[in-house]
Amino acid sequence: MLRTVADAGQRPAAAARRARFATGARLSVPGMVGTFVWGIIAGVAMIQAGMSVAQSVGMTLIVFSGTAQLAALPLMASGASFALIGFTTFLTSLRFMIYSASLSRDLSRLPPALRSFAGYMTTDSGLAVYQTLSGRERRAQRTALFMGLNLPVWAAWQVGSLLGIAVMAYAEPGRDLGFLGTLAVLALIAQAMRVSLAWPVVIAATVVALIGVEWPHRAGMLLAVLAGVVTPLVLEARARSHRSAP
Amino acid sequence: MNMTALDIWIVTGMLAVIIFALRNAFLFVPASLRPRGLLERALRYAPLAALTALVAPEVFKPWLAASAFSPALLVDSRLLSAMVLLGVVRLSGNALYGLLAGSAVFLLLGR
Repeated sequence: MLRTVADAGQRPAAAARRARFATGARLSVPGMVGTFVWGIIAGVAMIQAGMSVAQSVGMTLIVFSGTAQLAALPLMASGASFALIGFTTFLTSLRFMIYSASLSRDLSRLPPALRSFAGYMTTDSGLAVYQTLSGRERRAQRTALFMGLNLPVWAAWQVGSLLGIAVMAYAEPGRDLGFLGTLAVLALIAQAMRVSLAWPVVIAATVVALIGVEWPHRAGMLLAVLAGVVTPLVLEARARSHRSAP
Repeated sequence: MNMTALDIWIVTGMLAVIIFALRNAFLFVPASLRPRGLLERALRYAPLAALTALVAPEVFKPWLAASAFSPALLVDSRLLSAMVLLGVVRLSGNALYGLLAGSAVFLLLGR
């Protein structure tokens, strides 16, 4: 008797969750395609940089971030310090912090284990779709939708990476393919350049990075980041003072 | 690779912790504590600046290595594939198309 009452209450809820997961999974397909390609290139770039198959598989499974992995490779290849690699990773991946702020309303009441799993799963393409689907629904359905949007992208990334690693490990390419990793990062830069004041950021950072490429302790790179951040802030401040002038 | 096997695993662990912490930041810390004002704006530009600072020397590697200008530098496979990538993303608005086009140019030009 008790069981039937409980079942009657739970079955529709579970079905609704499954339906939301399925909706998310269906909508995640375009994101999966892109993530799969980025995964292949990350796999190729890791082996090309001199990492072993085990190290590459380990990094892709644990870190699960194309940008962070591709950005760290040139620094690792040149033997940069742990501090510099860590700092650069933090800077290049700040968007995840912004994502977490936008998700906090929906996810921050989940149990900690499930919440941190959802956090780990957050992908660029999954979140982009999730934010377009603001629906009034139960939190559990919302979570199911989030998982449906992100889990397939996670899988696409892992399969793509493993494919890239396998291809490089077993089919010796005749030439250095490491630059494909650079192109994968450049494509992300190009996509990010649609926001305002992106050109001053890119020009300032490029000029300083090229001038300072031989400076000790990667000072040129750090100053390039600084120039890329300060330049748009100065332009913003100037635009404001022009507007407020009589 | 200029690192020992242990170094690589340390870096992997470090990246994992940093990324995990960033992805979870405001799922555990109240979102009301997120950065605001000048810091928020600076942090908005930092990823683009950092990625550019990393990529620029790779794209212009042949230029940086050359002792004098030569026309060959203008048709270098790195620079050309980067330009094609940027142009395609600009026209199509799709990063994946840009990456595929840029990669194709790099692979076809060789070396």
